[in-house]
Amino acid sequence: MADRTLDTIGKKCPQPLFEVHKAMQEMITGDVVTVTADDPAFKLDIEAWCRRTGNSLEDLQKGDATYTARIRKTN
Amino acid sequence: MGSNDSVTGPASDASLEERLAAVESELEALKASYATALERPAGSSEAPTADKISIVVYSGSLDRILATLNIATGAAAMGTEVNLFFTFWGTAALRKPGTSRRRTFVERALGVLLPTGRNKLKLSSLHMGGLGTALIKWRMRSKQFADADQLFQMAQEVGVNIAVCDMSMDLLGMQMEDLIDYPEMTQCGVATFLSHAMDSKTCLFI
Repeated sequence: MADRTLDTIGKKCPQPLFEVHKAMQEMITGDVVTVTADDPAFKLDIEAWCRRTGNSLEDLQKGDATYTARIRKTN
Repeated sequence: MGSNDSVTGPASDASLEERLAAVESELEALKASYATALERPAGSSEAPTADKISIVVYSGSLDRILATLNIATGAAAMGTEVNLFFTFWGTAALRKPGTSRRRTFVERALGVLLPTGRNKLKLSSLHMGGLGTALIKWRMRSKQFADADQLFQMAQEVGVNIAVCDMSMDLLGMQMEDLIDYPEMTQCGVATFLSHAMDSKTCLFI
């Protein structure tokens, strides 16, 4: 299992999701990616993305102007 | 469970407790899977990748093309098969500048009148002789929004399929060689679109 990070600061919808999707393709089941984003839509979008793709959103923290999400590839 | 187990007296209390704990954990697991099932919209399949979305891209306005590509790349990034059907003015967004092909007079005239590709599209509102469109493009750049070029590139990377209406192309004097290089692009008729649309949970007309 490998953990990786993904920085999408400054990127707007739908680029953060696109980046997460690309990262996931390079990961195997059980891997975790930590994504940082400052797109205000990120919270709801990443929740919806995980729900639809069947991946597990293990943690979602809100910072000053950023979000940090931990997603485990489970599908 | 045998009925004898329950009447063996106090000696089996420990095993009863064990079983109770097992049943409780099973119940928790069931509750969790029930909650997951509830979160999914009714009718959604077990495998989310089986989803499909079809979009008719009728408009050749910059704003509508951007919205289309935004939705398309988002959907594809969510594991959904996306089929875009470009028809009428939408086909202009796919033209590439300069064609060496010999064209008839009317084809050449149409070529001049129609926007040449995604970078020549105008906004549907506030175009204001080019000022509004330039302003919006500038704002998109400064705010790091993906522009049409980037969105087409992203769509290509996530495997968005593009089908172009052959009637529109004929009517507007275009051939496949006049269009941008896009790997998943085909020329098709209405039946191809409809067969995708009928299998799609979501259909949009933009």
